[in-house]
Amino acid sequence: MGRFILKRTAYGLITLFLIITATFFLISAAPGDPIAAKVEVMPERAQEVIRAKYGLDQPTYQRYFIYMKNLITTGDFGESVIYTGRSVNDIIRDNAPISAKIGIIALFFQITLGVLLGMIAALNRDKFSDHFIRVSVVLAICVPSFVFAALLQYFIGFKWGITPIFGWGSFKHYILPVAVYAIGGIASYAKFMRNSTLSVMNEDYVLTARAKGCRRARTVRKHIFRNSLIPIVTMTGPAIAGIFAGSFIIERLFSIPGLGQYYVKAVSDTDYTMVLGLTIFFAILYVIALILVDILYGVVDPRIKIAKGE
Amino acid sequence: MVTTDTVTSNEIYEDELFEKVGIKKELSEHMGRPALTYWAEVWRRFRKNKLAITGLIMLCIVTLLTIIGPTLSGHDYQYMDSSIRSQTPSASHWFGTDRMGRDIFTRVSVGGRISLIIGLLCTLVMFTIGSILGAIAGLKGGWVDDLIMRICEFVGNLPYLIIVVILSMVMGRGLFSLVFALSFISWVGTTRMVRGQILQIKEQDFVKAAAALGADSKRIIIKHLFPNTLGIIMVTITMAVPGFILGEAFLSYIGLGIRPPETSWGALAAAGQERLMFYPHELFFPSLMLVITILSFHLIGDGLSDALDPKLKD
Repeated sequence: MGRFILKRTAYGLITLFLIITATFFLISAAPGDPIAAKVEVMPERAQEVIRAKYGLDQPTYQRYFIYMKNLITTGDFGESVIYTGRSVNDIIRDNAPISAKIGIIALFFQITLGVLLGMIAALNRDKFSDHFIRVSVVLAICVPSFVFAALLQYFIGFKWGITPIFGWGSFKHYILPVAVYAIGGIASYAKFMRNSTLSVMNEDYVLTARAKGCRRARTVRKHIFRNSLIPIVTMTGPAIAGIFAGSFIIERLFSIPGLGQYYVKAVSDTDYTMVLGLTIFFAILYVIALILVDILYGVVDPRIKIAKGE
Repeated sequence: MVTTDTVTSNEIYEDELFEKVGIKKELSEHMGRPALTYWAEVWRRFRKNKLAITGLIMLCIVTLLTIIGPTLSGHDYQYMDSSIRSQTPSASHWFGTDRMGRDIFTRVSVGGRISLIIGLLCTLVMFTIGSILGAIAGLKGGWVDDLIMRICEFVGNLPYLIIVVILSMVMGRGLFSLVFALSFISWVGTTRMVRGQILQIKEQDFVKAAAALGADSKRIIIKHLFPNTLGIIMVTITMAVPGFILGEAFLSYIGLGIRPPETSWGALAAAGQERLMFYPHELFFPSLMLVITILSFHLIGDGLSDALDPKLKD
């Protein structure tokens, strides 16, 4: 197990290194000069000073080495070129917790409700509850999150006034964004859980358990449930990625001051250093999440641990 | 008991009620229904699936609308008329007008073109790269296979959306840069799937038989491997298109979608979202088209995978 984690971490570091390098050079090659765009009227001398401050007067590869050195030795993600004095680290420190809070709450609902609904559908195959859950799942998958957000904002927030339409602060502000985050995930977890439960129910060991006189509730609890969770764990990686994606749109729609909103703002401002820093931060989170999911996979399915351990 | 039964039945059923069946020559050669080719069989099963057919019809209507919509409405999608800003649906503007006084029906039709084209082109790129790499990996084996699988593992571990955002930020907002950004690292799943299929089919008896009969590898690929993987590939393609359409909508929402004056469903929805509370129709119609299109692709994909499953053959 220890060796596996080590190997996986090494892969993760290589992936990160390649992402950082590629992003850095891509962004350096991007069209448009953020400083020239903002300070057309500034005297040339001042522009030079600013360029020197951000190191933009040096060749790209040299900036790359400086950036990497700062990132590795001091964990410095860089500073915004648009908003003077605002560093990426500040933005992360102030706003990442907000995104994380919503994301984790939503992930919790996604997994619990999704798994529950999937199990109910599979255990009541071809009955009303199964059909109902399946139809709802298809609809939930087909409605894009921004449409769902609009529906909730319009009816629950605007027409009926139950929750605030957007904003951030009180408990009520959580309800709509978390619902929008969760709905797509619930649907896809339910879909996968249903399929995997159905296939586990046909396994010989389930039949054996029933033949030995194991009661239905116990069979479900002890034999079906844990085994059908295995494919669900692999889905958690993409689900975490989905939370990033969700954060980009949902935080914007609900005016939540999270990282996703800053990222989108940086993209539209062509605030290149900010985009670079936040991209690296997202990439780090993503790689860590994938490693955790791999480890979790070994915990849920002991067979895999043996296969990967060698 | 048995004897009494026989006796009674003989009494009730008289001999004239029975006749000798014999062998009917014309019927012994008769088949239950005519033999169909594989695809005709799939189509027969697909046609029986009401949901899938509904999906197909909805998709045809949407496609037709994007082609002839502007002609039907008689408006230009860029023409601004400041006297009719933000009108709700009416007889002359079926979906209403936007804040610039442009006809939303026409814009939705024209935007649909971009959305559908992006969905299809991205899927094409994904499918081409994926099946070529997957086929090479599956057929060659050895170090080539190892290399391709390693690349897949690496690319598969990249955060897709962030890569898409960075690429489209750097490449700009034209149609082809969008397609490039959206499909650049999307082929991993297809590669793995095609490779898996090929490895599985390669070992089957009919392929070995073909090889034993002297078929060269080109013939085996074209005649045996390709047709047998086509089914599952078609399902994957159908399910991939809505993903890319949504991807474009996502980019539009964060301001990286297609560059105006061109428009797409995503761009229209994003524009409508800003004025949701006062003019919900601006968001409603493009969203409706998105939902209908995505739903159709899902229904068709589900129907296809059922129709292609030989276990369900009746």
